[in-house]
Amino acid sequence: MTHSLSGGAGPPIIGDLANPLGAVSVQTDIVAGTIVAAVLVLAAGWWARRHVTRPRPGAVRILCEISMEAAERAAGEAAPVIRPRIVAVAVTIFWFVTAANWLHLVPGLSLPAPTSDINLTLALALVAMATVHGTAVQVRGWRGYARHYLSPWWLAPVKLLDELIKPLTLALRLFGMVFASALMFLLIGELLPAPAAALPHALWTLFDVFIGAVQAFIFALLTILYFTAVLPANAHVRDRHPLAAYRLPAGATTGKERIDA
Amino acid sequence: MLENRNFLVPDATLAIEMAAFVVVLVVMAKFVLPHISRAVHQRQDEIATALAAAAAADRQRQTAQQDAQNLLAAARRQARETIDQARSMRDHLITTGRNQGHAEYVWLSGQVRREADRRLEAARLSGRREAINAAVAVLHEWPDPPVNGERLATLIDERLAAESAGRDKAMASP
Repeated sequence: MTHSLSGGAGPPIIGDLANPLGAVSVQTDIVAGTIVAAVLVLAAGWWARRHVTRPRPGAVRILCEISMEAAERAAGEAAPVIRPRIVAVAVTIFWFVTAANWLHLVPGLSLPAPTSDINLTLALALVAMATVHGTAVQVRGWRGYARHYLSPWWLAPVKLLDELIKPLTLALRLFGMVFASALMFLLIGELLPAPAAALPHALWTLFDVFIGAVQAFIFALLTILYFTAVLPANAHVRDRHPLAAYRLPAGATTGKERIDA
Repeated sequence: MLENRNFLVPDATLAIEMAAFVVVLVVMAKFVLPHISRAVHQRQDEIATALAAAAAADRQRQTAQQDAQNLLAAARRQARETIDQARSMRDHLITTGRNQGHAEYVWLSGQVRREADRRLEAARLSGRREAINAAVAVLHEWPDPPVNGERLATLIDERLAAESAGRDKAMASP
């Protein structure tokens, strides 16, 4: 962690807002943290996939299945043909953000949480919203997609503004929480002497674990909500859209729906 | 992380992060999550099938339980009827036996009474005969005047008969 509050030994925490020329630089520690988080997520997913048929599930598989079922439940209003894509995006986001949020707590890595940088949170939000709108265009068609935003026409600017704000709010919410949490660690370390800082540090670590999971959940849940907001209900999905080949046969229900019934 | 830059402005790291996340998303969506989802749905199907089988078994159990209750109720009803019939028959037998016993008692007591009367009469006649004979014998041995024995016996007999009739009349009166 290379945070510093102001002046003195480190750079100011509030940067030069009028100088966005840093856009050409690459932050290697954030990239390294992102890659580590990605590797952790992929390894966990691979582990869960390899052990998915074992009679006695492990913790990773249980967590993975719980998150998938929660995502399917949250995406319950979406068309069944779209649901796997929504679930995949939401589950991947949840595990990736969770891993990224908790990365700075892994002993021995000495990497910052990549989500404490705006680049990763904005990248996540942009990819999520691109997937959302790409799926909406795929399902509705370009004309239907445009009609969705132009009816009524006088609300179109508000809807467009809303769509522009969504990725920003997604990115800034996650970034703000993780960044504030990192600042709290910094404050505890700088304002308290080492022996007295142990207890607050431990307590804040527990809170940071909790906040990290909650923020990942919120990010994934909002992504699902954005999906369901721009996608039509099941009855309005056109039969000839590219995902129709994967649609369940008429009257067919999933096992979960039968259990719920 | 905050070195000499505006931390709210993204830089070239954004593209790398997007590429990294897209790779993770594609790998997870193509190779990991479908398998897990399929396994989860398969397990949910198995659970649904097992639940349906359990529900069917539960319905069968309820039907069997209802049949058993019906059978038990019928058996109880039949047992109650049998018990009632047995009680009725018992009461009938008791009443019949009591009546028969009473009739037999009446018959037997009548027999006994008649036998007793007959024996009493026989004893009475026998005693009278003995008394008459004894009186006649005594009168034969009497010195004088000579007694007409037959006449005396007739008189004694009549006298005893009259006494016996008076005694019988006194005994018959309440």
